[in-house]
Amino acid sequence: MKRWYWIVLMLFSFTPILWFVGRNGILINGSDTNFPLDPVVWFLRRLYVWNNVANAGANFSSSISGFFFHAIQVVGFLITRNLQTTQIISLIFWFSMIIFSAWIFIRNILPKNLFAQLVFVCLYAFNTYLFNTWENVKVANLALVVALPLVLTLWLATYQKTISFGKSVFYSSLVGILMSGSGINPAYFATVFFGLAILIFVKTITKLSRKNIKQVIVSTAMVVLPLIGVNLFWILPTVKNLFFSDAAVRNLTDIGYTNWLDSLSQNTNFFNVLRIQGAWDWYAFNDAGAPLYIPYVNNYFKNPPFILFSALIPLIAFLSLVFRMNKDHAIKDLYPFFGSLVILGVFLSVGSHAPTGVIYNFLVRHLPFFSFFRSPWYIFTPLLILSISALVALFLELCRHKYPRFVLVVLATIIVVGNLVYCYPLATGRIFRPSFPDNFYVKFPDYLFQAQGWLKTTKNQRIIGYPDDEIERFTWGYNGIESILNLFSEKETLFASLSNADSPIGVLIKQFYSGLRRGEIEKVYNLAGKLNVGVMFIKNDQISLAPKVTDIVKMLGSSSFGLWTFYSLPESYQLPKLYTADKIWLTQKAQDGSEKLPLIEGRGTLLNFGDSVVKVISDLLEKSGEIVLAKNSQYESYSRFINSPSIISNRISHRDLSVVDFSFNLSSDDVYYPVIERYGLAEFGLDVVDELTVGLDQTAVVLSVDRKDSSYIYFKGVDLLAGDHRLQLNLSVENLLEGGDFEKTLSLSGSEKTEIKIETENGNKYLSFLNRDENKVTVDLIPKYFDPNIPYLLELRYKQIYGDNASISLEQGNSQTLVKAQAEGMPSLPEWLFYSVYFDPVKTMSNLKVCLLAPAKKDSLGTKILYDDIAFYRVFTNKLFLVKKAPKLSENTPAVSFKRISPVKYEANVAEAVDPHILIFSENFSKDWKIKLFSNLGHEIPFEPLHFSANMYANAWYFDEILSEYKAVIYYQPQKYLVMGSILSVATLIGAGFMFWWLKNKQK
Amino acid sequence: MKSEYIEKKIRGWSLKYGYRLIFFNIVMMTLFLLGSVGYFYPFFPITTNVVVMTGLILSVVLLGADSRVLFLAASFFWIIALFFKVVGVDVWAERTGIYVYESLFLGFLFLLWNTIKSSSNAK
Repeated sequence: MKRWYWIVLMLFSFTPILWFVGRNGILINGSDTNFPLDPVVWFLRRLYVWNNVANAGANFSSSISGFFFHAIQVVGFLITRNLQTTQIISLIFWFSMIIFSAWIFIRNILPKNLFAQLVFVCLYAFNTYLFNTWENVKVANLALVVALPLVLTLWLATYQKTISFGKSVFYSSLVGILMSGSGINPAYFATVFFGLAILIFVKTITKLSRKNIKQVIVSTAMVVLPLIGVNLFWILPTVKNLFFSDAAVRNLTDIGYTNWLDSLSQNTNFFNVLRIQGAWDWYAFNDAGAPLYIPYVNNYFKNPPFILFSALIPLIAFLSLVFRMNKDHAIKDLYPFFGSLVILGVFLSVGSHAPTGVIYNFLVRHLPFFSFFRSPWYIFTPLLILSISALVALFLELCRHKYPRFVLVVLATIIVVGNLVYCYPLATGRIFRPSFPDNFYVKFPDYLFQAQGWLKTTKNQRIIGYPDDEIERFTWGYNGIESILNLFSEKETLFASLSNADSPIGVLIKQFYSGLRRGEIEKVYNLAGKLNVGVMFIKNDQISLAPKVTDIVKMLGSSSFGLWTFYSLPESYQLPKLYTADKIWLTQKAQDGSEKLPLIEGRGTLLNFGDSVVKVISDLLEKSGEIVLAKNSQYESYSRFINSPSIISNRISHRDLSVVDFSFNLSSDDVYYPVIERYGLAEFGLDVVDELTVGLDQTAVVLSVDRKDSSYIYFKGVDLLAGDHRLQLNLSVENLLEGGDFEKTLSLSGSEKTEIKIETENGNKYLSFLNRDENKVTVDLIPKYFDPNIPYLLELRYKQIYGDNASISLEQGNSQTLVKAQAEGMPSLPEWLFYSVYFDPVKTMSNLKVCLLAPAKKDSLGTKILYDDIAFYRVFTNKLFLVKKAPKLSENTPAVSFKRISPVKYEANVAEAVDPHILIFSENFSKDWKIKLFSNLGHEIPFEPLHFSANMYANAWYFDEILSEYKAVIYYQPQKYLVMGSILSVATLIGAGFMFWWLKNKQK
Repeated sequence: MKSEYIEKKIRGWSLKYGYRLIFFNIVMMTLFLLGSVGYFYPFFPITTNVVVMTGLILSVVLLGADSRVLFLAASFFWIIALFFKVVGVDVWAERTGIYVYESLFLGFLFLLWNTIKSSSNAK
């Protein structure tokens, strides 16, 4: 081989160094990139199938396939102790692996044509598909791109008997290691086998003989079995999770994944896909036509040389199919293979885009698990790139045979240089968008590393972050969808989840943040205890619309690092991760649990009586309290409006906000203690001091206050019978828009083409708004009070005289930005019509204005609308609970001490249990959490306590047999599949190595 | 010399496929005419796509086009698509991309068929 050739391949491999030139100490991180700031911590997480650090834990089966990817980072980090160098080593490793695998593949096909080899390597390693892969350093994509050519080469070499079976098995097991990262999304793993299946099919039909079929089968076994064997460490737990877990998984939505097939397929038409320009983010533009995400994209869309080059490579590939080489049989057989890869690669990459999208959608709907291929462009395009690159290389091989050498050299040089220029964002690091404010080049502040050191010294309690944005965006450039603490700490964290916002833990976290914003401290502390939260993490460097944290929190003990502050919540409210419940409350409806749980103090526990396991515990009713959430008539009306489509009928009805009806059903005759949320009660004239008069089942009843805190007012008990009840509260309703009836003089202004005045008809004054201005002209009314934490009702009357329809707009914002605008176009009617609409504000410190419009038509007459009686009211959404007190489960609540052995194993010692009791384990509920009991002498106790969920999300075990003292081992059962799989993976590697060594010696 | 050779080849091919070539052209022209005045709409609209697909299939059936011809057609459509893209008519570029894929698909089927056939013959 020539020296220049190796130098070019080496230079290609070291491309990532260019990305860091002039960027000392800066890391490529953010969004989906997730480069760990403590690689060891991240690596160790891959040893367990339960990830405990994020939002009370989740199954981590497929993510453990990133084991090797993170092992590379750990090795780099342990050697250099420098994060940037570690990242560069990791990136160079994977870039050189792509170069290597491409080179191996093409060298096996065209061993004599160096220029064709170089062109193939260049096209395969530098293309627009890989922009996104490198931008986010996507482990699964990288593993797929590396593994695909290697697997095909190994199979071909085994089939053609150019390598021995021993080598084939051994090399396949090594490729299996490189391929393991694709298991993060098993669809990528499957794609490698899909490519291989096409090759096997083509090789079978090109030589239909028994001998050939036997050779195909043997070759397939030699390659596929080691590949799968090495990956069993993640395949076994993933299969267990997908097919044999709590609920059978058939679709993506079953495992909380969003199906974004259609949105990703919006621009994957044939023309774009064949030019490798199907990524959705290339086609996102703002109103001014500037790219939203990809700054360099206009070059590809508008620059003629770039457009021409994008079509040149596919054109050469097509011509390669026209001018085929039929003399060389080995090459001749490859045309059907690369042809099928093009046809199927394009069809699959197009996804649900027309015209073949109908077939793809049919497969998604009817072929089990096909919906896992939810990102067709990202999953299947490597098949297309491989085939197009290979066809171009075959064309160069044809040139080598038919034309003088300089034709080959010139053509190859044009393609390589042209491709490097064409892919300049990848070659130069522009893919990381350095010109954009939220680019991927991040300089992490020093205080982050100070906080990292401090966190290592603190005890194990969950940390909840605030502000509560689902995407953390920091002023210094980093953004991510998980807590930033997870990048460098093993501490368990809670945060607003983007992907699992409606899971039980997600709903509780939302409830926590709602209480925090409203200053409901007891609610927050009670929830914190149930969620095992001990520390609140306030990020003052996060770009957020969320209001500042309440002053009460600022009085707590804290540790500050730069713009980060960690507040310790009061110890009296904190609960350990494992404890025994002292009281239990039942709820009939699981969906109300998040409202009820904050009412429960200390070790009290909420159980769902709808749970079939809880129902089995026959004596539970006697030992439990009950919390009934009354239906609030105003909240119900508001909720119906918000959750129903925009229709006229629910906008022209009158709503009486001066009364709120609470309706509830009680299961037994008993003493119930009414509790009402305290937030904003005074604003409705309910300044409760010692008592509150209410209408209970149409009788006036005085409720005496027992106690109050920042969150609730607790009333003394009331004897109530089982059955339906109604409690009525009279409210003082205030119109927050002064002058909305236009009876008083208002200062109104417009433009030259508008006429805004107050007119009188039969003694009633109203606003007359005539607008001939084509620009937007509004009459703005500002409410005298606006609290974004509660909803509002806007009412008005209007009459359209002529022109366009009347319309209003509710605009919420602050001095810097418009946060929310709700526009309402009203029916065209030349009579006075009543209109009302609810407004649900964004929970951020802001102002609101009500804008009245008379939208002008283009004709000279314009629009004339009359407005009157505009009112803006608070909606009373406070919740009322009826609490039946719970007796203590036992006079002596058993004491629990425990030790965390690993994220999947806890050992607890329970002592002083004299009665049946419930053990609570505050990790997300899964049937796969198991418990084993042992006596103090270490003998296993043959008793299986009932397992069910508690506090909406946690695990609970009920011990009806009295075991006064025992040791409990709580473990996550799927870990055993990881252990089994790992043993098999290691055995495969050792076996393959041994086979290689043995066969080699035997040959000697 | 070369041009004479090509001319001779074309003349030979025209004579060989004379009636079929005439029939092919009649079908294509008829389809264009019917399509342009909206025949069979809305039950079976004769779109450009229908005309192209019919042309491709008939070229195989009537004119003996093999996979190379179909791949050449794909290349031709590809250049047309590129032209539309360069002049900024993205919708037509996208439509022509469909014809590229159709030509590729038919060409690939032909290639696969030939491969299987030659494999059977060899056996």
